[in-house]
Amino acid sequence: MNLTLNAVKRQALPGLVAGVLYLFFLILLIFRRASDSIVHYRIEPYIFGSKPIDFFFPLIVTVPFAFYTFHLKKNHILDYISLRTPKGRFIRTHILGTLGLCFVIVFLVNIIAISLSCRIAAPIPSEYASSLLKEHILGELQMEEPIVFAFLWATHKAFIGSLICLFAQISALFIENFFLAMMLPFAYVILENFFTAVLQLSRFSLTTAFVLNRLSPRAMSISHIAVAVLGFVFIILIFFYSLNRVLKNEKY
Amino acid sequence: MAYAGAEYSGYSTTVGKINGSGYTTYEVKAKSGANGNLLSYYVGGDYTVDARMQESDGTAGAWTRNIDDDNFYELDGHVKHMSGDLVRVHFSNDWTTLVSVQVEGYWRSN
Repeated sequence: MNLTLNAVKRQALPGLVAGVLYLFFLILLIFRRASDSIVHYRIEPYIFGSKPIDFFFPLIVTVPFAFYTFHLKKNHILDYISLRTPKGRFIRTHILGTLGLCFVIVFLVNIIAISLSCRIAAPIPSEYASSLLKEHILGELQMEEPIVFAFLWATHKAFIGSLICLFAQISALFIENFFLAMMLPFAYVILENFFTAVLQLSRFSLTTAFVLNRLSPRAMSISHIAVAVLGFVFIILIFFYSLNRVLKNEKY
Repeated sequence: MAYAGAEYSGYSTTVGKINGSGYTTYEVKAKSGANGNLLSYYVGGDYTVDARMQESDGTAGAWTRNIDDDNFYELDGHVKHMSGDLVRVHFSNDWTTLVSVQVEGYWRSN
């Protein structure tokens, strides 16, 4: 437990800086969207404002949290740690603490953002508005109980963010080149988004899983998002075992 | 060729990727500041786009977001869009849409 808490303390500063910047730009975009868009529901400034920043979401949840992990490996600190604590245990608790911190930060940022959106929105009643959100996943909840929806959505988004962060932790531990290690998760998400778009499989893209109401309601379902998330977990496992194998082969 | 704003005119255009744009042809505004109407019957690839009415001098109304297939939408009129001005619909893609999107439908500026 102490090891995990120490990992959280080590990552706290970069994580908090990332969280504050994420929240700042999200709030800026929410205010902008609330003033330049037609808004029918209180959650809509958040939906509209989060889309531009979601393009950079993979970077937000990777670079600040993987930077120190890369430093641990690059400067052979892990070799010294193994004198006091088993290396595997240290790495596991470090990653666990980092993922936990990433989860909490993404959760809090999105809860605050949705709450703010509900506070500042000035919805325009319209006879055409009722069908706009209703068809989406938990659309009725988005329309009528946005704060309740906020907890569910923030938890979901924080979970996806943690998965992407896990991918970054693995790349930071195994890849020697700093730029490649930091950019790989972002590059993967962009390429996956592009290839699923070209193949007309956007409904199964990981980006669809973490961007709220990204596609047409008929293309978005809980099963499609589950496929996207499970596919990403599978990729992470393949990535980890492949790199682990390459590393073991290099030792011998 | 500019159409009269009280009648629906068809559009078929491509909206560029990653916050890219697409436009309809111009219509002549019939009533100053009136809202427009958009009948979107096709947005390609399960995506949604945003749209607003824009005058030839660049002034534009508020965005109508998340435009989908087979739906009716209102387009916000701008106070500076006067009767007789040339207006068009400006479509925009999301940042996370990495391909161009085809949009088709009808619209009128009113």
